[in-house]
Formats: sequence, structure tokens, C-alpha cells
Amino acid sequence: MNAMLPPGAGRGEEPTPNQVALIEQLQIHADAPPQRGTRHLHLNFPSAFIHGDDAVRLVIERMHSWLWVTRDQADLLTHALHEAVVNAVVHGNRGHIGVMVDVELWADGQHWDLHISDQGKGFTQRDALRAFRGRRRNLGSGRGLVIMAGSVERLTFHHGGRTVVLGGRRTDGMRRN
Amino acid sequence: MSGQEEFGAAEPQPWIITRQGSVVVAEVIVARLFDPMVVDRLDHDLHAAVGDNDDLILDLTRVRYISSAMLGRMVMLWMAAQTRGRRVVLSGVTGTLAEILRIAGLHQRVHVHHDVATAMAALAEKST
Repeated sequence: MNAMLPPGAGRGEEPTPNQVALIEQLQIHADAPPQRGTRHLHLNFPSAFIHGDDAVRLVIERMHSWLWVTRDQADLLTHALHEAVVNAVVHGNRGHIGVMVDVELWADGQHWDLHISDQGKGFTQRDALRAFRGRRRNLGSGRGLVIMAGSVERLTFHHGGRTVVLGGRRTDGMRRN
Repeated sequence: MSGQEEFGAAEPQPWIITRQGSVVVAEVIVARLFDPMVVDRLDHDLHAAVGDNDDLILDLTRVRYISSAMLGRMVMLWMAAQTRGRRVVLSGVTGTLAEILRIAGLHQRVHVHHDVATAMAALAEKST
């Protein structure tokens, strides 16, 4: 693939200032994520695309069937959750099939949180910026973070980057107010 | 030319690639462009189909989900076309898919048209 690109062609793919700001504002905490309300789902699967894709479908289907997200929100969240799971499988667990990925869905009456955890070494803000600015971005590295951040209300990282939390507001909770 | 043989006769055809003069039209049939193997295969087929003097219309009318990896491949195709003085445009991008392109910043780089006919007309107009 890279062979098709002439020298310097990657310069055309510089991130916009907004995208750089987004990465710079990433919150990467050392501690565990807070557990909101009750845990409604807990999935644990080997690091392979097929298992991750099944998990994404199941989680989104449940959240939509419980009326926690609208159809449009479910579609956006599908993209965010897919990117989070792929990050866990590919970058966190390096695709080792024997290493597991955890997905947990926590919620109280108003909000939901999805925790996606891998067993890798985590990452720093500098790593994220490097992925974003480097040629790897052309294959999706930094753009996955941007999609996650743009598709949910809240995006935070915990355990030094090994757990990502995607958060939003329950649409049934909003109707109750 | 299509991805049919890769996916077997029982599987629906994942994309159809046709040519109209110097314009290659790739109509993606699958709704989910998430699977890395599917992304690799589509990328491979597009590179095989598009020659140095060709433009490409990637029709995403039936696509509902797309991965950042696929978006990255699209950017690579777009950049390679730019350096040859050719164009890569999209058609049929609506709803959540349009939102994802906006979030990823691709809408500022790759032209998006309502459908293949509109894209074809736009390419023809710019060629004259």
C-alpha cells in the first residue's frame, strides 16, 4: 500500500487543529474508572475481530432495545464501540487470541458508561499524538480516537490507557424528566 | 470484477466494480465495512482496478458502518490519485455515515456526491 505513495505524500494528511486539540485534551487516568450505578452487562472475549464484532452487536442491540439510545445514537455508538474494541484487540492485546478483552456496561437512572479493557501496557498522550501525526494514522490509528471522541458525550481513559470509558445519557432517562 | 470469489458463492457479493471510460465505479454492497479482511480485500480490489489515468467513484449508498481503518485506506487512495492528477470521490453518503466522515474530517478532503450519476457528471464537467 505504501508503495503507491510518493515521498512526502503523507504531508497531505495533517490533522486539523480541532483534531489535535481533541487528542491533547484526552483524559488518561492512572486509576480505575468509577462504577456508575449497576453493572448491566459484562462480556469477556478473546482478542479476535469476530468475537469483538459479536460483542459490539450484542451491546448495541441491548442498549437500543432498552431504549437507552435512539437508532441514530446506536449507529454512532456502534462506530465508537467498534473502534474501542479494535484498539483493545490490536493495540492493547496485540491480537494475541489467548488474551481477553472485557466490556462492561454500567448505568444509573440517567447515564450509561461502557468500559472496554485490554491487558496491554496502556498509552500516554504523547503516544496518541504520535499515532495521530504519523503515517500510521493513514491506517486508522489516530482517526479511531477522533471517531470515539466525536460519537459519544464522554470519553476518558483509565488504568493508564488500558481501559477506555465511552459515556452517554440514557434517552429513556431524559424522557422521565 | 468483484469480490465474489473471495467470499464464496453462498455469500452476497460484497462490491461490484465497473468501468465507464476512465472512471472506475465501485459500488459497495455490504452494510458493514468493519472486518479487517473485508477492508483489505476491498482495498486490494480497488488498487487492482484503478489505473494511473483513472478516476474513482466509491459508492457507499448501502454502507451503514465504516471503520477508521477503511477511512484510512480511502485517504490513501485519495492521496495517490492526487499525485497522479486524478480524483477519488464518494457517492451515497448519508445519515450516520456522513456524520462519521465529518467527525473524521474527511468531508474536507474527499468530495461527496448524492449518487453515482451526480458524481459522474461532476467528474465529466471538471475534465472538460
